[in-house]
Amino acid sequence: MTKNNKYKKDFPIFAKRGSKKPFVYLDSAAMAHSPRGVIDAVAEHLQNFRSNVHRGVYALSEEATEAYENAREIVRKFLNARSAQEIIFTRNTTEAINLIASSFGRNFLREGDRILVSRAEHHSNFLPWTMLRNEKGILLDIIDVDENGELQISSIERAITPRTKLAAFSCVSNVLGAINPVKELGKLFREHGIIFVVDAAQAAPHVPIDVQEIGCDFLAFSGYKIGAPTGIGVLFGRAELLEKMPPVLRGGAMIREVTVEKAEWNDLPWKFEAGTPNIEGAVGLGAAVKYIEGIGFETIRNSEEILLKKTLAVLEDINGIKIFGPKIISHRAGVVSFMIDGIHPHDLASILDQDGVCIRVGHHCAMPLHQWLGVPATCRASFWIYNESEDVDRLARGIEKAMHILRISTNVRRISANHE
Amino acid sequence: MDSIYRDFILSHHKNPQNYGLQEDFDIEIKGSNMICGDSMAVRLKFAGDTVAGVSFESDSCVVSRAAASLTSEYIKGKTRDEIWAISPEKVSELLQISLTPSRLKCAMLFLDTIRKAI
Repeated sequence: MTKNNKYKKDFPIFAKRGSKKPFVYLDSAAMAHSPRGVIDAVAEHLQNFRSNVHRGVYALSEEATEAYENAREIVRKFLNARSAQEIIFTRNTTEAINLIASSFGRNFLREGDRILVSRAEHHSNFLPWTMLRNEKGILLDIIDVDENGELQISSIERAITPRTKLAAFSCVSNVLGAINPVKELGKLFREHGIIFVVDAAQAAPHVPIDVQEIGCDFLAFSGYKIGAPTGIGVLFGRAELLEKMPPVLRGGAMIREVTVEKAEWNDLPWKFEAGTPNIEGAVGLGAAVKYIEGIGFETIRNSEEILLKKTLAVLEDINGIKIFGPKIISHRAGVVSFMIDGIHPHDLASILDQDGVCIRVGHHCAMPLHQWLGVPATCRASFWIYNESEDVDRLARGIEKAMHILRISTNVRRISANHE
Repeated sequence: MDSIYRDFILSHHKNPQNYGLQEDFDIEIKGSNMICGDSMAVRLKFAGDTVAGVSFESDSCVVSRAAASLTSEYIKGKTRDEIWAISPEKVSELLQISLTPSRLKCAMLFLDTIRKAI
């Protein structure tokens, strides 16, 4: 896939934007582009099947319901969940993890219980747990990553106490790109009876996920990072846990019977899907999963490794660069974050943008990690199946240009130490 | 689009006016833009209600520092109310470029910082 990437043509945005100026998209960790199959599936649904689900007895509504539930079954297979009851559609990973904290956390965790999280988590897998800390007197134990940005099982083992009730870790770090050993973590947490929450937002586009093999209790991912529309995400939860958890949102579709005095909740998974859901989003998500399955994770991984090797090799040659995350390629998904001494990330991103190269700069919703790394912001290049070797060349040329423009022998000192 | 990184702006980044915190000042204000990690310190000296002296130091992007250079020069002799009246468009005009909303935040860091204390 290094030359003439055969999948790029499946993504209409490249033909469209590339006609104006060369368009190199290196921000798939923030949002992956949609293949034509997804765009067509959403359009076809809106044109031919648009109707509310689980409501009407007329054919159109039945067809819409079938399309919606079919998407759930596609996701069930994608995650290898035992039952479609365990697949809840949410807006995104953030909403899914908030659902766990709000429903499971508020009702089944008690003051003095402890939650394990890593310092490298995205805010969406961090703030729901600090909410429980602030509300209920639950304690957070924060695990540092090592100098390569990797989680060490031994440091997690050491942090487990008899009061540790829940552990929340990402499968792939959105800044460091580190692929965390979730299978080993699953085994460890099961042995200790700890509820295991997996944030798979960055993993879903890059690595196969098997919730039974991981042995996790909850897992969440977002559709838009695998080419689906925005506004659709997934929460997997073990049925035994979901059964006893109360709904977070109440309203239409999530009830069996309502009287003035009381209400009886609907079966899983609909108990957690109050209100009319994102039907076309689910249909688009189903199409995105099918697209990925058609390519296969082995192919995705192979192309990513080539791009990663080249990117790391090219970046390492740049004077004054610091690259974050695992040095071993097999431990890293398609994400490379870096800093270049004397060049502000915003300036680099703006200069790259002038040549059509899109990278992400900032704290990537992981400020505790950046505080620990000792940098306010990083530059991040990330890949997916449409990226090709030429994209890395364009990034390298753009960085050279930025250094030429910006690395002027500056006449000013940095801000005085006592004003930091 | 006109490049942000024209010689005019780069020269203000390289040789900013009023750079280096002065010892003779009335108020010192620190500002930061947490989103991109820019930080800035500004010292102001007043004669009555009018800015008589200004100095700053920053760890920031080109746009932020060049804007601070130009805006710090512009506020000399202005009253507090006049400083409050400076529009984002004026800052763009001083820089001689139009800015996207995200880069405008960088350009406004200097004014946002001093407005916390005047």
